[in-house]
Amino acid sequence: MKLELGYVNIHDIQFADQSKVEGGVLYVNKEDIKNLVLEDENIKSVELEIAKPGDSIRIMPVKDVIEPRCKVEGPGDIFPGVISKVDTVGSGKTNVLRGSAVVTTGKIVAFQEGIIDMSGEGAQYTPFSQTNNLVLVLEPREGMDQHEHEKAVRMAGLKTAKFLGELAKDVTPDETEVFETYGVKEGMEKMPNLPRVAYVQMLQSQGLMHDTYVYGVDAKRTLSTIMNPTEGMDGAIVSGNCVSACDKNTTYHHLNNPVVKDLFAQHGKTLNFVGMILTNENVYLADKQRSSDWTAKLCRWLDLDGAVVSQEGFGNPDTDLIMNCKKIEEQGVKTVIITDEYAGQDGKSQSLADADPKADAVVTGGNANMVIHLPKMDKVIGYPETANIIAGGHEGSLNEDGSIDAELQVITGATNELGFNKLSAR
Amino acid sequence: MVYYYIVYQRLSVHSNSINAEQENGMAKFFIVTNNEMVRDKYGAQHEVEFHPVHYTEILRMVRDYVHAGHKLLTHPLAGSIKPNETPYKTVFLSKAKGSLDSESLRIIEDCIIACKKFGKDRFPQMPDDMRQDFRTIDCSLVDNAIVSAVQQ
Repeated sequence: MKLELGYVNIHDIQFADQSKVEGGVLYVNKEDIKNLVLEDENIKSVELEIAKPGDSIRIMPVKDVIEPRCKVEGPGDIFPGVISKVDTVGSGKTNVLRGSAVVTTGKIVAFQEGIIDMSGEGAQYTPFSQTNNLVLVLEPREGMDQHEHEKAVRMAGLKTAKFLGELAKDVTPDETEVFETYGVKEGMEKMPNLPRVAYVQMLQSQGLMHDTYVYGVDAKRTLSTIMNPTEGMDGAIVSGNCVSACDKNTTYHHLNNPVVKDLFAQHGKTLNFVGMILTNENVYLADKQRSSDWTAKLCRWLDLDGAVVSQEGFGNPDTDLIMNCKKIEEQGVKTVIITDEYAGQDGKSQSLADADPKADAVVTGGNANMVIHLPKMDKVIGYPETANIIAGGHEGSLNEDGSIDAELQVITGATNELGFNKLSAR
Repeated sequence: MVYYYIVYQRLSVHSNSINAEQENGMAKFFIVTNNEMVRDKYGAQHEVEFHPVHYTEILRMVRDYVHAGHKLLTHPLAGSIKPNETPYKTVFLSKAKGSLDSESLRIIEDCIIACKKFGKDRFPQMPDDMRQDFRTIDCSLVDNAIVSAVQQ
């Protein structure tokens, strides 16, 4: 399967009379977006805001971040099975509005989390301080329950991103990049001497505000399966995960998975990137056993030499991570796992809630308990009063001068377990 | 014959009703919780032990059950909300007792250790609407576990 990504670089975003992409600027007509979002009768109102890199702006609480993309050639359309038909995607050509993002915010529950600071210390910890963001502040209709509310916010973000992506359908990309994987036999013939490596992506799948969708299917009701990595670049995986801001994977992360990108960079040079295995993180232990058994079985069936396994979330998924690692290693396949740490504010506590000697190659996204100080911003988009009830915050988090003292876990994407973050020991 | 059995199982799950085994009083699991919403939603259909105690106390009770020979059926740290943020915790255990299940013991011990590093409760004066949301999220995790539990 072969996909060409065409990057249309966006260096500015502005409100305008007409929605268009021109000269690297994303122009947005507010009414276009409002009309689109308010098609959903579960949304009572939507306010649109712009947040650019360097602005003295804080966005909170963030629910999802989505990169606008559109299909230019090839079967299917962006976000298949969710807002497009369920056709298989991942081949042909796709244009990407690189440097832009749609950010959704809404008070789905009284308990809130997720901060993006566009400048200051907090901006160093989130990749979304570097994107030109269109922020949707969404108010639901009265009396809606949390499940409906979460879905309405999720769909509003996806629809808006698709709309913006299509503005660049006829724009000539600034840069293109081609990604190609082969069938099992073809890959072996083309790269007979290279180690066979796959990427095992664990998807958050526990329940309300802890869900992920693959071609529209709730991941908790799936068996571990194989997917072509380019399918993810066309939106085959969508986030419904609003919990644990620092280490959740937004839809933007799924579209721009750095593990996939890095494995492709070595594909045909130092390794043969065979494909992706998707697996879930359910709460029921027998489900964990079934999913990890299947994952290990698929690794063996693909005759892998190595596997990279990434986790999503804290606590319960630590057990899935270790089960996957242990069972894949027992199949004779070397593993590297990617996680993050809750090692206490001093960094001295045990990092994970599970462990095994076979997990001897570990990449960490950082310590989510680390305490940071976020300076006052001139403008807050969203709900500033939620600072005190944000994950990792505590009573008294919000200081009188508008600054916030909190753990790193309040920042969206700060310790991302795909490695799409800025923390490094280098 | 097999076909009819599968159809029956699926219908039973989708209607969220109890399966034949439970109708005969043979459910294989029981639930330990401090969440009133779980008690009220599932107490009539399933064996629910409700204890109005702290989150960490629920984990200690679960550990006692594991020492007594019950197996863990759900992960004690289900949900990515941190232990010192949500007040609510629900865990499924096997009704059957056997010899000590070392895997269950390892998991519950690791979870208790993991909880300790989070320190004191962050929201001791929690507003009612926030409390209700935490109940709802915990109950949503239970909803999903029930679907798996009745299939086992």
